[in-house]
Order: sequence, then C-alpha cells, then structure tokens
Amino acid sequence: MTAGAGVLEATQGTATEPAAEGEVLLKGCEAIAEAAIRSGIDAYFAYPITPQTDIPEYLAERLPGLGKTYTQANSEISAINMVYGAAGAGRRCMTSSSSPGISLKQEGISYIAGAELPCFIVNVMRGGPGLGTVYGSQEDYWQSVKGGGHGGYRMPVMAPATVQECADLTMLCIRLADLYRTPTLLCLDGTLGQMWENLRFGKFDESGLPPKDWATTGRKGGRKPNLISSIIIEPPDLEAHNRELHAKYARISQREQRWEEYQADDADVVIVAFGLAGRIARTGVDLMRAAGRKVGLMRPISLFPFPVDGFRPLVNRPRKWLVVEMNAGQMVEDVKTTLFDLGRLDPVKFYGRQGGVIPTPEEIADVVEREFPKGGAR
Amino acid sequence: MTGTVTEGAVLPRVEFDAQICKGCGVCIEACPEDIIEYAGTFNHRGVRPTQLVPDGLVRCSACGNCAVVCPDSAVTVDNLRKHLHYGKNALRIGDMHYCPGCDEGTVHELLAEVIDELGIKEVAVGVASVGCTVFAYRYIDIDWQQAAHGRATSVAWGIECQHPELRVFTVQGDGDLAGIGIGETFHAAARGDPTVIIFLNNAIYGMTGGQLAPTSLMGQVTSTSLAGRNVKDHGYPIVMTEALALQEGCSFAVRTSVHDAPSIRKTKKYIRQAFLNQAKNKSLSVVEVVSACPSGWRLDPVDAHKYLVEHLFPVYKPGVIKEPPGGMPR
Ligand SMILES: Cc1ncc(C[n+]2csc(CCOP(=O)(O)OP(=O)(O)O)c2C)c(N)n1
Ligand code: SF4
Ligand code: SF4
Repeated sequence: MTAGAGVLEATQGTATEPAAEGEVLLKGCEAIAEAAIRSGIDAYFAYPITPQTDIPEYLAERLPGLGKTYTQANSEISAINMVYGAAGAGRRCMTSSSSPGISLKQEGISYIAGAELPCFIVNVMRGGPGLGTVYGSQEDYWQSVKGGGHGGYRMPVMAPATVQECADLTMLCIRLADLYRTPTLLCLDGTLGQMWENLRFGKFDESGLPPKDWATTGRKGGRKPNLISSIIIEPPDLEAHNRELHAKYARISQREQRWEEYQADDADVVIVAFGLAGRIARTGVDLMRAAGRKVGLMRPISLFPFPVDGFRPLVNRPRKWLVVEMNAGQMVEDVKTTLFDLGRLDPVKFYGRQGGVIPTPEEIADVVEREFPKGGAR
Repeated sequence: MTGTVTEGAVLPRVEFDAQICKGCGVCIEACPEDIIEYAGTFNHRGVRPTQLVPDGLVRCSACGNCAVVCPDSAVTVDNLRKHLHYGKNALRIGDMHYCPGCDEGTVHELLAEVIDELGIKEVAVGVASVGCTVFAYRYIDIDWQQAAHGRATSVAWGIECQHPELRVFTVQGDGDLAGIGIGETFHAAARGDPTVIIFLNNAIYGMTGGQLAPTSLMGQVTSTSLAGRNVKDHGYPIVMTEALALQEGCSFAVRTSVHDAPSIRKTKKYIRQAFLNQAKNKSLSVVEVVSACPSGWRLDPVDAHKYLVEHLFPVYKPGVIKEPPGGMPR
C-alpha cells in the first residue's frame, strides 16, 4: 500500500506494536480523514471544535495538494450549507464536528435529507448537554438516529469501535450516501477519535453508484434545468415525496443493517452496547467468560438502521439483556422495542456512565453480577 | 391591438395580457401619454386588468415603459419603426406568485434578460433564498438551488468552489441577508466569493406577513412594531451594502431600485455589470435593489413606490458604492 504524505509516513510502524505489512498507525480522527480522501471526496467544509479537530487539520494539509477543496467556514451552519451547495452541484463532500456543532448543523441536514443530497457527516461526540465536556461520550444517540433536525427524516448512522472501523465505516458511509442520495453520519465518541491503532485501508467500492444527472452543473447543451430544493408547498405533493423518502428508508433498513455478535449464541446474559462502550463490554465478556459466566455481546454497528436482524437469532429462547451506554439510556429504548417486536418480554436492564466518564470492563462485569446474579431466578 | 400602417405612420404593437395582469396599476402610472386604464370587467384573479384607452394606440410613443415596469411581464410593446421589443424575456417562465405590484417580479425579468443577453444561461446557477423569492427558481429557466434561510451565500460558495466555470448568483431579501444570514453574507465578502448577490431590500419581512426587519426604518410601522420602530425596543436599521463594500473581497457594490422605468433600466445595467465583474474580478458583487413590498407596507402599489422614494432613499441612498478596480465593467 502506498502511504499518504506527511502524517502517514511519519507514523508508520512507530507504535509499541509495530505495524504489520500494509498497516499504518493512526488516530481515529486521522483514519476517518484518510479514508475520506481514499473515498474520493471532492470537498470538505469545516469549523474547529474539540475533539474532532484532527479531521480538519489532516484534511487542510492533504486536500489542497490533491486539487480538492478545503474551506474553513464561519460556522457549522455555514459549513453544512456549503455541503448542500457542493453536494447539489454533484460533488462528493463531507463535514465533521462535535456535539454542539452538530446541533448547529441540524437544519442543514434536514434540508439535505429533504433535497436528497448525498454527503458524509462525522460527529465525534463529547459530553453534554450544553458546552459540556470535550471528553468522549455517547450522549448524541437520539440526536443521531431519531432525526436530530426537523421533519422526520432518517439517515444511515454508523458507529465504529476501533480505528480500523473508523476507516472502513467512513468508506461505507460515503458509498451509502451516493447509493441512496442521503446524508450519512459516522458517530463515534471523542476517546476513539483520539485513540491510536494500527489499521489497514480497504478500497473504496465505486461499483453500482448512480450517475448524478440531477446536479446543478449548468444547463450545458440546453438540457432541462435541474433544481435542488426541499420546499414542496402542496400537502399531497409533500406527502407523496415523504412516502418516497420513507420507502427509501425502508430499503436502507432492509439492506444496510450491521452488527457484531460476540459469544452471544449460548449466552444467558447478552450485553448490548455500541461504539467504545461495545468494545469495552467485549473485554467485559471475556472477563466474565473466564469466570465461568455465559455472557455475550451484541454490538450494533449501524445505529440506523437498527440491526434488528442481528437480534433475530438471539430471541430463540429467554435471555437477560444489559444495555451499556455512555449516556443516561438512549439506545436502550430501541433494544426494548426490538425485543418486543420480536415477541420477547425478556428483562432489559441499563447501565450508563455520563459526562465523559468511561466504564471499565470490570465495572460492567460487576453490573451483570448485580443485576443478574449467578444462579438467580431466570 | 396590432400595429397597422396608416398613411406613412407605423403604429406600435401593444398587448396587455388580461389573464396575467394583477391590476397593480404601475403601468398606468408609468405611461407618459396617459393612455392606459383599468378595464370595466374582472379577470379570473378578481381584478380589473389594464388596457389601452380607446384610440390610445395613435397617441402611443412606443416608449415601452408599461412593458418595462410591469412586474409580471403582462405587457408587450413592439416599436415597429425602430424595431424595438419590450416584454417578457424567453428565459422568464411561469406565472409569478408575487403580490400585485411587487418589485421582486421586476427584478426577475431583469435577471432573465441579463442572463440571456450575456449568453450565460448554460453556466448560470441561481440560489433562491427563504423569503418571498423562495420560488425564484420557477421563473428563470436555468439550474437553481433553494437555500435555507440566510445561507444562500454559503450554498453559492459550495457550488462555486466545485465548478469555477459556473456563474452563480443569489436572490436574497433583507431579513435573509442582513438578519439571520448576516454572518454568511459578510464571510462571502471576506472570502471574496465570485457570487453576484441580488439583495432585495424591502425593509420588512414580506413572506411572513410584514414584521420588523433589521432594515426597517425608524418609525416604520410593522406588524411587530405597531407604534413604529424605536431605538429602545428595536435598535437602528442596518445599512448593509456600504459595510460589505468595505471588505476587500467585495469588488462591486451598488444600490438601485426598480420603482420606475428609468430606474429599472439603470438596474438592468447594474445587474449586467455585476455579472461582468464576476467574470473579470472573480470576487463578490452586490446589487442592492431597494424594493417596494406593497402588502407588507399596507400600501397600494403606486403609493408604495412613492413611499420608497420619500422614506427609503434617504436611508438607503441609490448609487454606485464601490467601483471595481479599473472602473465600471462594460
Ligand atoms: C430558520 C428559519 N427561520 C424563520 C423562517 C421564517 N421566514 C420565512 S421568510 C422570512 C422572512 C423573509 O424576509 P426577507 O428575507 O426580508 O424576504 P422577503 O420575504 O421580504 O422577500 C422568515 C423569517 C424560516 N423559513 N426559517
Ligand atoms: S403593470 Fe402589469 S400587472 Fe400591473 S396593472 Fe399593468 S399590466 Fe397589470
Ligand atoms: S409580501 Fe411583499 S415582497 Fe412578498 S410578494 Fe408580496 S409585495 Fe412582494
């Protein structure tokens, strides 16, 4: 693999675990930025905010040399509307921010969803509400998967747990954006964004992506005018448009679910956790298995669509469920709904740490013991 | 009515489209020969459309003023002697949703003419904003994007940075440009974006029904300043175009109006110059059109134009505010 300029070469193989052939050592944020370049983004629009600033810094260094656009906007609002313009003009584009900045982008994301423009958004979450803390958290689950902005739209949301996944899911999000003409969101906590790990870049899959013949590139050759807009004033027309949007979301739900299941098959207790919490819970599962408890993990990778199919094989018998999040309990609602929809009334407990506090594997093992004591009534 | 040759004199061809006419009456006001009147019958809009008075054609000087001032392009004048045509441009499509006598329609006609005459319709991309111009894309037959409230210049930059060959312009009201979007507007000037901004300043929030705008005049009565704008409650009006002109990245700034035929002709020249400046200096061009909002101002269209001259011009002075380096573009 050819390494990119500067940052990449300098860091190759300097890890305590030396990089294997074809591997590079990068921070989560840098892996996202590099993967975006390798996915052929044409433009990136930024506004600084911790803990995602490594993304704009990386791209500011790399994009201009590649003949691509890097613009630092006057605000996150401006940045997302530049994305609207550039995406509407048919280009592959991206913006990134952290929680307060993502809040500012919500109107723009809603317009982008309404106008069906492809674009890639990254939220490196910090603790909230308000200015909160720069330390990593998962407090934006609801905002990410339940619309965030107004108008009841959905968009694919992917949650990585490793730096490798940061890169892989960036490429996936950029592909899904073009495939479905939708904004896509990569959602990770600030800690993963700052974490160094070896990774291997895959290849961006360009196959089957539709042409952007709807873009405002000028009426060259006298073609019919193109319009990028989200205003549809007549209620029946807007209803028809929204039905099409939701039919698209249904297709996405059917085809794009992703999850990791770890030792859940024979588990009496299944932990459900995403992102960094999922990664920590996995270590917790190992601890508990070593201590002789049959515990497993279900880690949603796609938060929208919620990986209902991943739960299907697990509802074959009664189990106990523990949802672990770095928030006060958000995804737990989707877990409960999913189990209910799949016909189960299993007990579902929740454990969360907030405000940038990260749970430990031991802590999670203790919670399992407390909530579902070994040998306790089923 | 059609032109006929009578004993050496070639009469003009003047046509009033009674279906399109909104009965605003600005053509009656603009006619120097006083030969336009309201018809005795109502059209489907429930207004009496205008027409020539009986035998008016013989007194018609074919100046074209009625066609130039009609915001809805309902009038066509052909000066058959001088082979001059006044009326709807081919790029100007559709029936407009604007209120009778709204200046925003007139500006669309000018934009369509300029884009057509400069031969840039295949590279022109408009950005409609939120405000009464939200449907601007329906009326000029080119590519458009419709932007969120206040964000038109950011959307414009998104297009331009990806397609430098495109000729991007925005159409924005004062609430959009000077209120919610003031940050975006200034940063477009600071970056020196090659955008042409058509800034329709009607000193009111038109679309939402006539509320106080950042540009409303001192003492101006609006639906949210019922006793008139005062400093204590509302602060002072923002004068935008001079402030934009101070920025290095803004190379051309003018303030103009479309309240009568001469000012419309001048505004067309300015819009043309803005597009020429865009190509030449690749930086921001601002054309502020001080516009009447008869509905928001609660005035009859003809009185609205009088109000505009008497009250808005002293605060928003028409004229060239910043000439591009090397003089006005030709
Ligand atoms: C974010 C947001 N805030 C408020 C509105 C409501 N709104 C629609 S048009 C408008 C005022 C537009 O006024 P102006 O820009 O002066 O244009 P005009 O209608 O006078 O042409 C407002 C406040 C909106 N659509 N979006
Ligand atoms: S200016 Fe146009 S719309 Fe107004 S009265 Fe005359 S023809 Fe009718
Ligand atoms: S409200 Fe005012 S600006 Fe809007 S269309 Fe009517 S007259 Fe024109």
